[in-house]
Amino acid sequence: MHRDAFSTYHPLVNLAFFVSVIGFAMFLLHPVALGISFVCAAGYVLCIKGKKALRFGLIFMLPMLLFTAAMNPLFNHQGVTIVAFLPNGNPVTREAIIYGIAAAIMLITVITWFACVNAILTGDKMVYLFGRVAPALSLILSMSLRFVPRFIAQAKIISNAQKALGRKTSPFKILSMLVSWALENAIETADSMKARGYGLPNRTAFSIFTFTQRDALALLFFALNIAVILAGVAAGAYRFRYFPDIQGEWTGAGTLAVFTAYFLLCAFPLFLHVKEALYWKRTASVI
Amino acid sequence: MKSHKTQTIIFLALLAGTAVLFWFAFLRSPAQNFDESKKNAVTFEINVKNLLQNIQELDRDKQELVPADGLIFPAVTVLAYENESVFGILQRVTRENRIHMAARFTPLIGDAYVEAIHNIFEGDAGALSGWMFSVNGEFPSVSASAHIVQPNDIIVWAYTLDLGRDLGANGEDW
Repeated sequence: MHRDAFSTYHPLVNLAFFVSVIGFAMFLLHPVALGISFVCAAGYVLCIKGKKALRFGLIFMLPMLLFTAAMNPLFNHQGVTIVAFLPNGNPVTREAIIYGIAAAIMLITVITWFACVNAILTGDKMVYLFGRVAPALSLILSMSLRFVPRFIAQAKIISNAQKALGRKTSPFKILSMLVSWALENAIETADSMKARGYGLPNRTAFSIFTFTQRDALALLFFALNIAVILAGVAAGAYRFRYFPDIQGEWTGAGTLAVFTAYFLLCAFPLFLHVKEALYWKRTASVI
Repeated sequence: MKSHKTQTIIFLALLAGTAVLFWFAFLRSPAQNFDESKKNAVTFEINVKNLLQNIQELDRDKQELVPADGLIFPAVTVLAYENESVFGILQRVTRENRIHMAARFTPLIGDAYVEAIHNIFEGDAGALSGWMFSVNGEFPSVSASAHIVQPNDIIVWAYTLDLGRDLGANGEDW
């Protein structure tokens, strides 16, 4: 992963961005809003994680998308346009199929945003943000957030060790070894943390984040866009319904303004990344 | 130690087993052993008349679905096979007349529960709303899939907003 411009902003800016973007991704089910959020999330994760993200997307997210989209019409029978009947006589409706696709895209969009959160809001930023408000919570958050990558890394180590021993070890056996390691590791971590004074009063965490004018401008930019989006939601410019038939606002002036604001918000880190990359290229070519 | 192949096979078998279980638990319709050679006639009606006065109770997006006279299927004589259940007739009539109908099944006890007719779902007009059926004015205390119709029965499916009390069903029946 090469250096990402957005991650150099103040943690508060990072947090504000992700909270608003993930919140909107979960609650704005208008197809255009879903598309905007998905494209921005996918573009950003590709920028910061590269090929790894693409592989993860194709192996894990794509099947999940298809599975979720396929499951919905089997259980959701709402909708006026009947396309087919299930063997038990329940209708499969066009609205349920479309809603299934929309919900599936929403799901993977949120997961993709969380992948970005993992890369940008690192443990030190978490502790900095929540350390004073909720010290125990921030510690738990920063520890649990690194569990998954840590486990994957350890699984790789175990697998390589087994290979080096000339054994063909099944994934289930590796999982078992991983669990043993995790239990032992938890005890060691606890001891080590105790030795370093965690849990004692007045323990501080060092951080070097400073809130600059650039951060204030970014926050102002977010606030403006969020205000436009919320005003649009309140005014019904985002109105879209899937059941019983599909009806929604597509081309109103308010709707377009809201979409623009939403795009500007979601694409903000992507803009920064591309701008930085172009700037680097230009400077490099001058050298 | 088992080889990779065996474990993959076991995994796939488990997956297939889950799919089969899933099929039997949710997607299969209850067995209907009616006699197609013997045909009877019954009067059949589907209405949402209760919603006409209480339209504001109904989900806003669904209000346009309520017909002006409250009749989704007017009372007419329809065909009923010998030994057919009330649910069987509902399923057949709605399908023949292109009316939306969705049900939930519990095949283990051969049960069917009507969730929605004409896209008006249970719970769309308050927590106590849903579909109920009456036969000759009585509200049987059994599932629609368990009630076998007799010739010349008058079957009415109606939407209730209050567990049937607004339809004149006597709560002591169940």
